[in-house]
Amino acid sequence: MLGMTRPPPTRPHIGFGTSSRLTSYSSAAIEWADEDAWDSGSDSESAAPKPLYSRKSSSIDNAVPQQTATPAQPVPNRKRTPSTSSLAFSYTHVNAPSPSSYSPQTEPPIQTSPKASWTMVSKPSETGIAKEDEKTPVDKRRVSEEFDVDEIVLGSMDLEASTSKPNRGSVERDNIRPDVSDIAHDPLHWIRRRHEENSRTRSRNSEASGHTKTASQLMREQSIKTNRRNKFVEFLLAEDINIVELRKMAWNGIPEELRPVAWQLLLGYMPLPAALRSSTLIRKREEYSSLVELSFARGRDGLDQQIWHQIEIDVPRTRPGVQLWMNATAQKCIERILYVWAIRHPASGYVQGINDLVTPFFQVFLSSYITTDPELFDPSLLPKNVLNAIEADSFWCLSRLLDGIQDNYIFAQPGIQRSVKRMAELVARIDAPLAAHLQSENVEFMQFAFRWMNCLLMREMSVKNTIRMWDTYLAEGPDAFSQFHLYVCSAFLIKWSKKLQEMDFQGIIMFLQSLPTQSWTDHDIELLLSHAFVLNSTWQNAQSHFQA
Amino acid sequence: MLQKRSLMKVIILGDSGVGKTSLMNQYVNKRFTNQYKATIGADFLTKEITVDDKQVTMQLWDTAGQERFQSLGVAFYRGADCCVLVYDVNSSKSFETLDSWRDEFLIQASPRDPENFPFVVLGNKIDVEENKRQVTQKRAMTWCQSKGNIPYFETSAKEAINVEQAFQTIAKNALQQQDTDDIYENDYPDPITIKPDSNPSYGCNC
Repeated sequence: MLGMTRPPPTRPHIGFGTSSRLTSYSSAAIEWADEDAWDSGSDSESAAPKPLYSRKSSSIDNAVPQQTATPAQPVPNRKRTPSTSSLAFSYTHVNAPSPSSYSPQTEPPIQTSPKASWTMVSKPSETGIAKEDEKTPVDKRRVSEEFDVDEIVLGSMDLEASTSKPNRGSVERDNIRPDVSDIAHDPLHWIRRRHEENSRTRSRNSEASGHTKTASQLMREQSIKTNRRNKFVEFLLAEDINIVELRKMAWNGIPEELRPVAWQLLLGYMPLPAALRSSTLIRKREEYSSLVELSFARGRDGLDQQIWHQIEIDVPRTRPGVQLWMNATAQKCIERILYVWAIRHPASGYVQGINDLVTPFFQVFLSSYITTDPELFDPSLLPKNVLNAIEADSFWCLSRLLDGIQDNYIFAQPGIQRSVKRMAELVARIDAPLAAHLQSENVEFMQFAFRWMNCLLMREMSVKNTIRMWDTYLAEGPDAFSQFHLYVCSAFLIKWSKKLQEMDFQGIIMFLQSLPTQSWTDHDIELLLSHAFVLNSTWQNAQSHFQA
Repeated sequence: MLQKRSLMKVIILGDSGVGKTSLMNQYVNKRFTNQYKATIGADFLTKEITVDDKQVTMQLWDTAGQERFQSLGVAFYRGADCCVLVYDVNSSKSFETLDSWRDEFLIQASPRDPENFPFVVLGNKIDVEENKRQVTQKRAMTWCQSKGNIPYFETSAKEAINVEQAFQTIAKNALQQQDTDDIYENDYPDPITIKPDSNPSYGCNC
């Protein structure tokens, strides 16, 4: 049904066996989404069972202002900032051939163009970041702590009047939604409000302009998209959500503004019944903040030095050149998330590449609260309770994701070893000439596919592409990041089959570490996902075939 | 099989954050930036060089420094002609782990003559101010001597100090290693590679 609303059938297989596959998920879905597996953030089962969904509204964030305080004003549409420059920085491979850990040669985003409303300069002690070496983040974090975010006045409309001192952040603060604390409380808050307003205007318009048939092709396409989004909105606004239906819808991509909610539902972080959501989010965020408190209680010296050292040198180089990720406040959030996760998972600890995996969550969740491109936003401008909510939500969702691929990161990384081996077997079956060529050139799959597994292709694609890909992964279910991903990787390799077969060892390795995916759009990703889906359907239960 | 190879394979090892990727990029592309992401698995670079009037392609594998990735070594180390051990002169821990990097390499690469396999040690980041320095030149050189006179260079990838010189030595030693390997190959024309899986030997890139 959904497939018909979309002109390019990105899921050609929708006719065969899909529904049965999706129904078979329903049991898994329950397992993943409904169980109260809130200890998923840890190796160890949390011994003390907490009362489920207890409504402790009294202790709720006193920081959340009363709903009535928020003026009912139209929520501005998100500005699409194309920001080609920042987009370019978000790739690791702008210049072929350069390895994936290299930054683009189109240098230096640090001395950002004056037009970017980047406010780090307003905090003088942070200006040194660009020059600073990898080793220094401690001091600059202290600085950002001193920056009192609580002082920020809520409601962008009041800002110009209330900020007496000139503040370069004011432009950016206009990009914060006026009702951020309500959104933290109820993630569908502004979506619901806008939807109600829209449907009011729509009905008025349709009465008035029943005969103005000036709609061009473009407008029709636009309206198909809008219809699809409206359908998604209505679906999410329901009191209880059918997870099977949600998976079906999400598989084809989630509209941007609905993504934060949809991801949290798909991951089983946010409960499906609307009545339970607010209390659960409050509880989980409180739980996370006490985990943070506990983990950092003994100060810098009380930390696990090995883990901390690795996180400390990796976080600043997570996405060098992207404003959001060069920002001390964002870096501090990521450090805490990674450290808390690592010490709660001693079997793996922190492994390089996990820092990449947290960034889509943080960016997507941040996008709920602002009207601008998250990658250009200074998160220190957000009220503290909102920032804490983003951080906590990112932590729990990262935990959920990592639950499914933990053996990728434990000693000897057996999960990755297994996936790469299976990928090699699979490619040998579905593209024998390519497999034979790679073998004759002495190319081992491990030499390029290790990174594909370890970072879930995030080093091979833009974050935008990754986010679209995760819509489908999350829709696929709990195993997707290990199982489905294997098929995506195979489809991804085969995509370049012809080219690769004309190359020698050196050419192949160089090509595979700087693949030309810079201009990939959602459409390219959807083709890849469709191919992976077909492979998955064909080979999933046929291991004995491709081991032959 | 016996014709002269025009390829050499070099592996760069060392703790996370000591500057392996920066050194490689300084050597190959003559540029420095502190905007690298952490290397995952290994990155691959090549450079055309002339050693003793011979045109050679140097293949460099820049590996990830985190210990967790060490099990991966086999895929990258085998067939290496020279191994570069990098540490940060401002971090004694990164110096102290050189021993285990060397041992791990010899185990996983299993060269024919481990005693004489060519290593080169680079003490990087000498551009950082002197009072930050934790490993003296003397201490480093003593260690290198005790391991069979490993050539030692103090480098700065940032300021391009000694990088070219170091890699010239690396290239020379790698080439010598190949010559000795060829002698071995004369002695044993059919080297036996034992591998559990049925892939063909990665061995050398002839």
